[in-house]
Amino acid sequence: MTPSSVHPPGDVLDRYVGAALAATPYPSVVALAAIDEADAVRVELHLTTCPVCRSAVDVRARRQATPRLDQGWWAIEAALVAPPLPRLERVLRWAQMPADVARLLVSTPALRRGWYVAMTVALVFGISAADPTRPDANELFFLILAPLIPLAGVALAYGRGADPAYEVAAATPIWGLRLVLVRAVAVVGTSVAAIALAALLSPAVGDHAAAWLLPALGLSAASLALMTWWPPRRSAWVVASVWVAGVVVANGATDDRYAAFGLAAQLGYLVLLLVASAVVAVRSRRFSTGWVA
Amino acid sequence: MSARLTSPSSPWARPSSGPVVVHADRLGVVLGGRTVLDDVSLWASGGVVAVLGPNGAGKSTLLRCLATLVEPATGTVHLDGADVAAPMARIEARARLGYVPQRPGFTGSARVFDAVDVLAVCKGLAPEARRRGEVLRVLSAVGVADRIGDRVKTLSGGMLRRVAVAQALLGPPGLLLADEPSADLDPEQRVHLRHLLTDLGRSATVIVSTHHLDEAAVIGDTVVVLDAGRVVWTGPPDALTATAVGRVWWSVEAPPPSAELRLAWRTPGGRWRCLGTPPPDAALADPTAEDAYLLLVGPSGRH
Repeated sequence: MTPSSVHPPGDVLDRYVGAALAATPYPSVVALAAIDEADAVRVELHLTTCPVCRSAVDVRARRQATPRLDQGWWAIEAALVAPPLPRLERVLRWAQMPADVARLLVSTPALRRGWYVAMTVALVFGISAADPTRPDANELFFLILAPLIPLAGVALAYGRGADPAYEVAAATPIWGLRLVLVRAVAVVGTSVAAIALAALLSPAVGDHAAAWLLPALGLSAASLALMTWWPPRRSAWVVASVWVAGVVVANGATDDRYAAFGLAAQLGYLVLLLVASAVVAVRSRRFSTGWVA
Repeated sequence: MSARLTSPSSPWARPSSGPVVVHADRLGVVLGGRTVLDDVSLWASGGVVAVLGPNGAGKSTLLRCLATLVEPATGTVHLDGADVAAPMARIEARARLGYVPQRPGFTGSARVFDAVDVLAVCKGLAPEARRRGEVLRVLSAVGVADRIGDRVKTLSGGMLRRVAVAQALLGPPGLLLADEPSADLDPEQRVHLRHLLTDLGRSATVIVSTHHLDEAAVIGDTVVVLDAGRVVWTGPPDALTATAVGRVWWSVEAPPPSAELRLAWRTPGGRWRCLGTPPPDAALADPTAEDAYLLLVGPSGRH
């Protein structure tokens, strides 16, 4: 192949320079249109004989390299001066959680000191406020209350009123299912762990120490499913109301005060969990693409 | 009309960088039973568009519509040629826009750097080193690099506004929508912000709402005047004053109310400055941009 005397078009030179820079150790952050290999060979042959195009390549290389060098510089400076990661985030990353997921999780509005304090107070109050002469009542009260805590956490983890940065986050592409799931898993996980600990430590909770778990997961999933139609708080209120009403009705309709926590009911909560999860999966795009108003 | 505004007959381009082409066509928005926007159209491709209007004119709703947050009851919004009524187009558009809400919200206990970094994650910036570098760049651009380790709750209102602007500058965006970004800022910070917005306007489309006439005139390549949810005037800032030529006059006596008199007020010199249709023998005055604005949106009466 002999060098062509025809100058390559400007866009071909741009892509040639872009491809050449992408092969350097500079932080490659700009998606560059690839140059056809034959074009690249033609450009290189032409450059051996054309000082005008060599100069044009030089100008383009400086222009394209500058922003990348700037980005590299900012990345280095950030590594030097940015504040260290929050302690919880460091732990999550140590546990191999992806960096962006850890960052989203730590920013969950519900996962603040106030949430933990409220959760603890609610549990302590729930366990201790009932009639001490009737331990069964204490346990039932605990079983009704416990599933509502992760449910409240889900409602407080997402949406207008819960997240101060809601509106600005809503105008980003990641807003939606991923954010909801990361935060929901975080609040449900932490609250389930706290409740389990309280259940184990409380003398008021006896044989049914684990009977709240499936209802908690089922109600949280049901709330998430309803959030594909309604705002988070309305969804949580509806689910909570149905839950309390359901337990009261079950309690009144049978002689068994734990009817809402028996084997048949637990299977029902499992079905609820599966169905609600399926609804969330099917309607997941509603989280990402829905209008705010 | 500024050269930055292109005609609706232009072919649509879908660049991956550079200014986002914004086309809002006959938008109507009803919120809580009240018509907030009525038949609003806007076309912009690069440069700074200043949306000017009194409180309640619909400026914030227009920006929220363009930010793909509010669904219009009628009309369409196209960003880079894609109708954002389509869900996937909305997600694509969100990847290229930065939005400063009228009331920015932050988790108070978060540190400044982290508050912006979370948004960078939401915008999908990666890899992490580049993302954190970008966060530092935008915080430096708004002049809060020396507070990056502070808790958000320790910042003043002006500082918070600057952090909100920093969040919107991540990327950088092809479309910046800023709802009264200069609120809470002191005069020096306002000048800095104006430079920032006009600089960005060279490589992106910037749409800024304000109710400050001077600000709109300084930063806007194009000014769109909204009143009661409708566009009442669009054009370059210089042309705004011209709309009041021959409609401003002086009167020694308090002018009697009439259908021709739109607005009059007593000046410190004792004379009355009158806006509207002047009587035949009126002493015409040189209009200002403020006169023109008041003729477009101002109340009627004597003050």
